[in-house]
Amino acid sequence: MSMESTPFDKAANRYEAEDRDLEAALANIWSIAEENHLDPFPTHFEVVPPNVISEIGSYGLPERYSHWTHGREYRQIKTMYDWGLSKIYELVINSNPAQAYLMENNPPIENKLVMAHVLAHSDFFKNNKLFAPTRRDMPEAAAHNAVRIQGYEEQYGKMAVEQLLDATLSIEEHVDPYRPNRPQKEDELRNWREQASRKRRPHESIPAGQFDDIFDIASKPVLKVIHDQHTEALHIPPEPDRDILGFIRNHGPNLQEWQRDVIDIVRSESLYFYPQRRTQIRNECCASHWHKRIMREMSDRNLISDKDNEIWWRQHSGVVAPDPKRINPYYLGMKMYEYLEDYYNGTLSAEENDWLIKEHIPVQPRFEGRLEDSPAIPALRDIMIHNDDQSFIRNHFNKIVADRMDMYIYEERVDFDGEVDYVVIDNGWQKIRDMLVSSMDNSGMPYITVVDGDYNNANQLYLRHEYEGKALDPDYIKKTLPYIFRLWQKPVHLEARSDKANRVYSYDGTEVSEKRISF
Amino acid sequence: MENNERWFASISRQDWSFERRGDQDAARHNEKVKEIIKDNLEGVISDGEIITADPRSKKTIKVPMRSLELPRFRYGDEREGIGMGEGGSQPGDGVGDPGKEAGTDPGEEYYEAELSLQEIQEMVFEDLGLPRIKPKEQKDIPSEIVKYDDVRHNRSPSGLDISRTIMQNMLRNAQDYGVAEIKGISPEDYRVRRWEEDVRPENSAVVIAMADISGSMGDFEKYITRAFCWWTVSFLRTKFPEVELVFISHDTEAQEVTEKQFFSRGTGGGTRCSAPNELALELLQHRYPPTSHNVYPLHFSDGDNQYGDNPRCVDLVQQLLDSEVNQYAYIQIGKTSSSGLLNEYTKNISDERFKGLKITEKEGVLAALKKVFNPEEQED
Repeated sequence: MSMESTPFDKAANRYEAEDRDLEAALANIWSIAEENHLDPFPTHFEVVPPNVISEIGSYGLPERYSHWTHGREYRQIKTMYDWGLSKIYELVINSNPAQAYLMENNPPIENKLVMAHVLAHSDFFKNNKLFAPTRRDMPEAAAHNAVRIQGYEEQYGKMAVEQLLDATLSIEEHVDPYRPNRPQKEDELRNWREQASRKRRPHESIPAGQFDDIFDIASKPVLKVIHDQHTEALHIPPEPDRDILGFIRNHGPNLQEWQRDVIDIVRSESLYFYPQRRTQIRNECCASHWHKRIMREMSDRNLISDKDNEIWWRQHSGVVAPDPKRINPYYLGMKMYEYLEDYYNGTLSAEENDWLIKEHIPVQPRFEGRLEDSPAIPALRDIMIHNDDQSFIRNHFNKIVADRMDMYIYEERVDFDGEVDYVVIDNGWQKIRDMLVSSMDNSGMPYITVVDGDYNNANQLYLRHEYEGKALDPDYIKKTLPYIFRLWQKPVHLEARSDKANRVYSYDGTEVSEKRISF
Repeated sequence: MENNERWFASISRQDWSFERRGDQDAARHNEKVKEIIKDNLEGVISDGEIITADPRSKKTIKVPMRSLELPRFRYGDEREGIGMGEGGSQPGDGVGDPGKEAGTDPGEEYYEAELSLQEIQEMVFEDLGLPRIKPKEQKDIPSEIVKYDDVRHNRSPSGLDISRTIMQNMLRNAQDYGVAEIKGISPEDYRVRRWEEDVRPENSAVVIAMADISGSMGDFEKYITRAFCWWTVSFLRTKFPEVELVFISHDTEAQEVTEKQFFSRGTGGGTRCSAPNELALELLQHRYPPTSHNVYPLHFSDGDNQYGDNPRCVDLVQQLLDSEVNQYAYIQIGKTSSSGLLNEYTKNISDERFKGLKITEKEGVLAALKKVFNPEEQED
């Protein structure tokens, strides 16, 4: 040992044998994954102490900016770990190369299962279409963002930055994933003006005479409105805009440059996480299936001892256990995968095939060859590439899966003594599917748009909830509006619909008021 | 590893022992939780766990509260969900543990903020003080203060006051060479800290706590008296350790008791509120003359006084005020607070040093404490 060796070097040496063992397993896991047509990013695994895995898990990215909500998450996760209630099994960052973490206290066999699981995630990140526009350099970008935010803290005070972050994070999900690269303010206004003027002169590109009668009918009232618009300012935004953060970043009347930058940071990180919010089941579906498949293969090749086989199987069963009161995405995902595999391999039960025939769904011929040549693999890869959770459930959830998982809809009932009971009210598979699908609309978040950025001709912000059958919680509206006011710095309004009454909630800097409106 | 060129995965470790970010942000969250608790102290301080604790104990108090979250637009709570059984679930079947899980649904995260008793005390004490306190020269209480010696030669520099020594050196250089620089510090520049005993006059004070322990004082009344007195005692013991506390319990007769007895006694007798006030007046004459003491009588009762005794009470309280007590506080406790004695006092006593208060619920204790121990009321 050299003179320069630090205590850490000694610690590293202590893990030498274990790390060699993990590396050897990783080589095998990687080649089994490849044989099964998985195509992950290059993936780096770092073995870290439990508090670090809790930390990165709660921040979502290593070296992300500091905020108390991350601290709250961290405390919760860490407490759960310390009490032995739960621990983070796997943690992998969507980046190229993918960055994953293993817990140093885990028995090596558990970390091997995690490696197999992570490679399937990495494959999903790389190949699922929804992830195509995400920044693969996000860890670096987030670290730069954190440095800038820290700089603002030094310059403008921790309190000012925290208050801005609080306000911005309260509407962080309100971005438009289909318009990630929103132009800056000046470019955007120019685009909008050009679009408006194109609409204004629709017939210029059309030869005169030919359609005049139609234009006469169609455009007289329109022309009047257009004329008004011409003399008045452009309506901002021209169309309802769901990218509330982007809209405020560009058009917030009194924001300073650094404040726009902070809003932009939150917006870009929210866009980065958007596909993960949309594919939780899909992601775990593949990962849970593949860790099981790869570990079995390892076992078949005598690369895992009998004792270790027992450990990983127990760990696997724990991860995919059904939950009586909520959806366990690992379990649902794995069961859906198993069903689809059985379907494409033609290995469903006779009873299940009968149901397919009754529903006029073709029954696949029974496949008897090697697992790697199964027709299920390309079919499931295709499904993996092109679906998010919502389309996956809509397209592939059916009676067979619902029955295999014994799924049901339950209801909360409060009895005379105020005790709460949960009672099964339905187990019809269509109802379950529809409920699942509708709960995934906009990742479960209400869809809210900016309708007017110059409301009352006084630069006030007018938002609208695009009602689709579920009403917003009024308490939360009243609490959230002041946060948006903090960003917009002028009165803020929200039009909230429900099937009973339609209301506009307003916050003017002192108090929230509400009034009923009619349509 | 013959396929080394084909696979792109690696494993490493590094030193994470300096990682503190999670802890720092968690501390900030905790700070915010405390701010919330501070705004809702009135709901916390009458907690049974607190007012039965030794005020100086290192006990931690758990304050259950909703986990702090940023507000966001969300749908109202759903009463339906999707679950998975172990096979054969039918409509009408129960799910999960019945009755046990209210309030633990997702989205209803509860958090038990842990605060030390001391932290809660500091929050409460921040706004409390002794009103109209005056210097009284009865006892001279020794206290240690730091004094700075003059020039000392040949002293060991163990108690060296570095900044003063440097100042002295610069001063000397300015005098000697006309340049105020740090140069050639010698023992003659040394300025040394020295502990020295000094005497200063103490504001000696006494709080006379009088509590009605008659049969009409129900559980609620006793509880509030206890809560108020617990805070009074712990406040004085912490912030004004020199303040003397005298405890008087009474039904139709008054008696000076120990602190322990004060917090535990109860009788089934009637109520005569003039009795403790007579005793207080006696104590003032013989033991704590207001010329040399700041005196704060404090009386708790449900106001259900013996018939015909009220005028006598008014008279005695007026006598106490006339003999220059700093303040007289009467606290009437009761959920269905009848007008009682309090009415009689407020009708007949106009002195602003008299404070008549009513506590009708647990949450009222903090406001009452702030009124009774209002540091802003001082005489010019």
